[in-house]
Amino acid sequence: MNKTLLIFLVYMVATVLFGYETYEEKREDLLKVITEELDETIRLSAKRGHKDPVILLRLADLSLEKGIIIRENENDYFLSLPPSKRSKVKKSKYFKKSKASYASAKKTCVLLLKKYKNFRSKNHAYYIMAYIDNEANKIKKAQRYFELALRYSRKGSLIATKSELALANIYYNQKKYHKALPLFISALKDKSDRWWTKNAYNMSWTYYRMGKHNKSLNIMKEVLRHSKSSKYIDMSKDVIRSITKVFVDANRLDEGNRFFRSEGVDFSKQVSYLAKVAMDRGHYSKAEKYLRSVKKISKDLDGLIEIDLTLLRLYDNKAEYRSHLVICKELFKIHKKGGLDNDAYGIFEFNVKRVAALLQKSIIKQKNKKRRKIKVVLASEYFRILSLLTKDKKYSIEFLRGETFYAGKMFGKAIESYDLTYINALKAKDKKFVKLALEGMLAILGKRNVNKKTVHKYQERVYRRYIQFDPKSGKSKKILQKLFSTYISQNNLKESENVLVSFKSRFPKEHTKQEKMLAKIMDHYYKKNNRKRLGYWLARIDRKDFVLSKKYVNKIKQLKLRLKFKDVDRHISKGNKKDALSEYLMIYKNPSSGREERKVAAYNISLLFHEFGLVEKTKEWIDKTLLHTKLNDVQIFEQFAIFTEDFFNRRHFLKSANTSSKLLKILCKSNKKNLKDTLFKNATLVYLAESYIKRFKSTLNVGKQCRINSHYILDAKYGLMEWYGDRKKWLKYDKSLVNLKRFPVLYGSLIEKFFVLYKVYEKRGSTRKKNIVRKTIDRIYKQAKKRSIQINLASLDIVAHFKIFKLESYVAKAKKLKLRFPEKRFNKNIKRRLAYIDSAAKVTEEIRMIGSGKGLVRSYYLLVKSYQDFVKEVRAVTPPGKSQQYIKSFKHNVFNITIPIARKGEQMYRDMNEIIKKKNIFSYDNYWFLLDKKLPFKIEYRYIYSGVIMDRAGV
Amino acid sequence: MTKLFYIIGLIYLAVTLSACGTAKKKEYKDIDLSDENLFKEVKYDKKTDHYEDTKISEHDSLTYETIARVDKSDLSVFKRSNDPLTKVTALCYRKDFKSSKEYLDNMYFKYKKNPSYWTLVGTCFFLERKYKKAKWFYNKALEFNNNYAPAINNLGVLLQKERKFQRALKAYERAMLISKKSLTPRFNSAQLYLQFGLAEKALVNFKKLYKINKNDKDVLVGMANSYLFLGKPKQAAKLFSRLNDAYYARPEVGLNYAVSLYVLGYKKESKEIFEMVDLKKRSSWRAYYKRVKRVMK
Repeated sequence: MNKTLLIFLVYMVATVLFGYETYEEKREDLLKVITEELDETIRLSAKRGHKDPVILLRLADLSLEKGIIIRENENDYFLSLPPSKRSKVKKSKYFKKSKASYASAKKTCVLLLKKYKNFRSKNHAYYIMAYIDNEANKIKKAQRYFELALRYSRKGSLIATKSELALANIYYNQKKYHKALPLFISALKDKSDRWWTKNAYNMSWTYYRMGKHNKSLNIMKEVLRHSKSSKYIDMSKDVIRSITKVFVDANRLDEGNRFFRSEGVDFSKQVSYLAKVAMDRGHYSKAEKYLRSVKKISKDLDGLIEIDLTLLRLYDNKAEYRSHLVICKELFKIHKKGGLDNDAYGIFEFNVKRVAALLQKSIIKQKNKKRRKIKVVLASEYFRILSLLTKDKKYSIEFLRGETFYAGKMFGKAIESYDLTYINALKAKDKKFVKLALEGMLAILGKRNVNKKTVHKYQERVYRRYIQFDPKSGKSKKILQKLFSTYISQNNLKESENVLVSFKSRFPKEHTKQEKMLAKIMDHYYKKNNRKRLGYWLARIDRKDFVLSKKYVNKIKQLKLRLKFKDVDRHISKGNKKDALSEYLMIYKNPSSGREERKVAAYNISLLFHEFGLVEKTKEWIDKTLLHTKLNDVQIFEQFAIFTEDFFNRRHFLKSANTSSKLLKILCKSNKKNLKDTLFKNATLVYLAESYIKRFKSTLNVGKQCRINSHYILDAKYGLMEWYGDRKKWLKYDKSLVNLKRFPVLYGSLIEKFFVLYKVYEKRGSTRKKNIVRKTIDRIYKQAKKRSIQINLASLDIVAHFKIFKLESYVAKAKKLKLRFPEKRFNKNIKRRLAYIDSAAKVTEEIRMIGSGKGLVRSYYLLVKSYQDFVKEVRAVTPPGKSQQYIKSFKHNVFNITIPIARKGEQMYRDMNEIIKKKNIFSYDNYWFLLDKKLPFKIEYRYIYSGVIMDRAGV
Repeated sequence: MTKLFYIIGLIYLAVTLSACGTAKKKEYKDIDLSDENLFKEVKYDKKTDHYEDTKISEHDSLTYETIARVDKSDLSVFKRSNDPLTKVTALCYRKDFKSSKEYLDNMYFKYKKNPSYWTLVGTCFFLERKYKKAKWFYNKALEFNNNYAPAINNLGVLLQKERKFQRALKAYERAMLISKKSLTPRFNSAQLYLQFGLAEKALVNFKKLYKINKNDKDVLVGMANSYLFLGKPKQAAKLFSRLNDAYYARPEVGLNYAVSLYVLGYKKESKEIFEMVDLKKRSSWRAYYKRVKRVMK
């Protein structure tokens, strides 16, 4: 009943559908009918208390049908949404109704199967559930329900067949071909079904997947045959492609070709289509295989072109440019024969251009040398083809080829392409490409890692072309310089000179550059000793053909000098100094020699004479040199300063001093302070020692003008003062001293010098002058002490010496007082004498403070002697006219009273003895302290020589 | 005849021209640059920096270092020496300054970095009584070797001459310290001590010198005087007695020997010695001579 119902239903649906104009309208009506029936069935089921399984199954069936139709509507509506909206919305929202119907159907089936486990048509319920799960893409569940449906169905029944087909497809999708195949076979026994072609097509693929190509091919052929009939679904399109695929995959191309020819189908087109599909899916290898295969069998030119163009696309996509190029070359051959139509040519040309450009771009990025080289070669081939394809401006393509080589760092090839571009562009008078080609070539020549042969071949040519092309540009300026350098490095002086002349005419204001070029030319000729050419250029310089810097003018002067002295240098380098000397002399005496030449010659002569040790001659040539020197000849002056020292060492004092003085005058205004100081010191020292006072004074004045260090000026003045003293020129000595006492720095040694003057005035009896000098000494001493200036020992002795005068006067006064009776007078004189001795002791203390050893010994001698004399005299006194007892008592008392004084004297004597020995005081008063007292008098000793000179045995 | 004149004229012209040519060359012919020895430097060698032993060394303990005390007559021994420095020193001591200067000039390039050469130059000036220049060259010697004892000693001698005794003593002491075996600075310092009555210190140094050479007469004189200063006339007289008449003629020897004998009570012998004293060239001793004479009366 159910089966009849279902068939009826299908019939109804079909008749309803076919009776309407549009499918949507039919669907709407069908939905109405089903809904009505569903409502009726629900009512019926409810009436029976939902206990009739047949009505329940019908309910589920109707719900499923309703769901199917609603799903179709919903699907249409959902697909009608704009894609932008569709992608954003929640899909389930649009399939709510169908889902509800499906759920209702499934629920009913579940209820049915629970309540009526032994229900006869439960396979139908399982089928409905399987269908719903299959729709919901719940494959596992669907598979399970289909299996149950199949299990409970009668073999060969509609449900069984449908379940088998559904399961077969599920297995097929799961690649379980062994499971799928028996189901297909079973389900497709009946070939009368309209859908047989479609299901058989699937079955053929199952065979194919299982590797049973023949079986598969037979079924496909059968499907193709049935598809031609209107009773069956037309699967011819699909099956043709499948058959094509099977033939190609099985490499049965001829058979395939034969088969399709018999069927009236173009096999190659089918294969091409397959390839395109494979390509679209990204299956390039597969696509390539198809195309290669069909290429073998295709004899039609158009087909071949089609395949080649597809292959071009394929290789382009795969970035397999080597194969791409091969195809391009094939297409080019076809094109040459005129085989390409406009469209095909367009695609071909586009491909060539595109890949050439792509390769060119990728070359720059490619770091692997090997790969880069391959790319460059490929690209160059493309450009070659392109240039053959191009009719106008072929050189522009050649230029691009050059650029490619350049990018690939194949400079040799690149320059060849540029060269070709240049030649052709020049012919075509295309300035733009002429310039581009030249610039490219220049860029290559400017590279470091360019083959020398290439540089040698092109450099000059390119430079000349550029200069010709753009004679006055900044680049031309640089190129001319480079060209010059090239010629110079090639020792091609003729061309170098031409370049210089050309440069000068084109860039007359570039003096520095011209100068540099000129310098190189001159240098070359100088080294090669080409005096003729040197003379030519020197003459041009003298004519002021070139504007030269001061520095270079000096250099030229030096060059001239060097030229003159070149022979001399040769002699010197060979050690032939004598000949060198003759040459120098000749240069010096030559009337054509200028000031500089003479100076250098004279200087070198002086050097040579100095080396020979000839002082007279050296001096003579120093003087001659100085006639030609200028203030900036520092090196010469410094050398001569060394010579003056040498003269001095060799005891040619006056020559040394004269040269020093001369140099000082010359260098007076210069800033060579140390050198000037040394020269001044040397000159003044010698002039004084040799008593050349006039010259000394003159040098001193020069020194003042030349801002010689004041310390040296003062030294010189001090020396002059000493010289006056040595020569007993006392008036001048006095004046000099008075002048020098203004300088506190000299205080330490001036006292000694003033004392000399003091002695002179003392000898002359000039008491007034003597006293003035003494006061000066006192003043200087006090000032020196105040300023903590160190005073020499001799000066301290002098200061002490003056104190000793005072001491001596006290001692003398004390001694004058005679100790005689009467008692009153005796006592008074003792008192006064002791007072004098006390004063003497104070002065002794003052002398001790001065720090003069000599003064100290002398003062102690006077004081101790004074004590001794006093004690001796007092003890010797005998009061006249007194009793013996009185005298005895007096003497006893006097003895006791004088004991401390005597002891003090003894103590001082002992102290001084020690001090003299300890401090090595060298005073003639030492004898009094150190000599043995047993000796009858002060003995003396002086060695015959003041000291013995030591000649040898130094270390 | 005219031909003959013509030929003679040509010969004359040729001779004159050739003479002109040679005259130009002759200007430098005296320079013998092949003589490399002229410029070959002689470096200072301490092993050779001394005088050779001679007979004089027997009674002069300083002849290893100096020939200052050698008699003029004996200097010829050194003049004949193979060592150029010794030769020139001898010339200077013989006051042959002209020759010595020539030698020194010839030696300049060889010895210009040698301190003994510069000391010699200084000594020649010293002996010429050009003390300032002597000082320059002693200092020059010290430029090449700051510790060259002879130059330091000689600067001490110059200071002593300037009556800067303290500084002179310091120079001698420095020379002694640098060159511990040097005898001359020791001798000089001993003499300096004794001159100013520091007999104890002088005696210490004299004794050291005496130990090296017992026949050095100056050392004997120094020691004898030191003993006399220290109140030991007997030891002094004993040393004085080892000298000869020529020495007794020297006032610092004869007068003090006479004093020693006098103190010891040998008045007759004292008078004999006193009478040997010669003041002809030593007038500075006159006052002392008179004092001694007065005492001995």
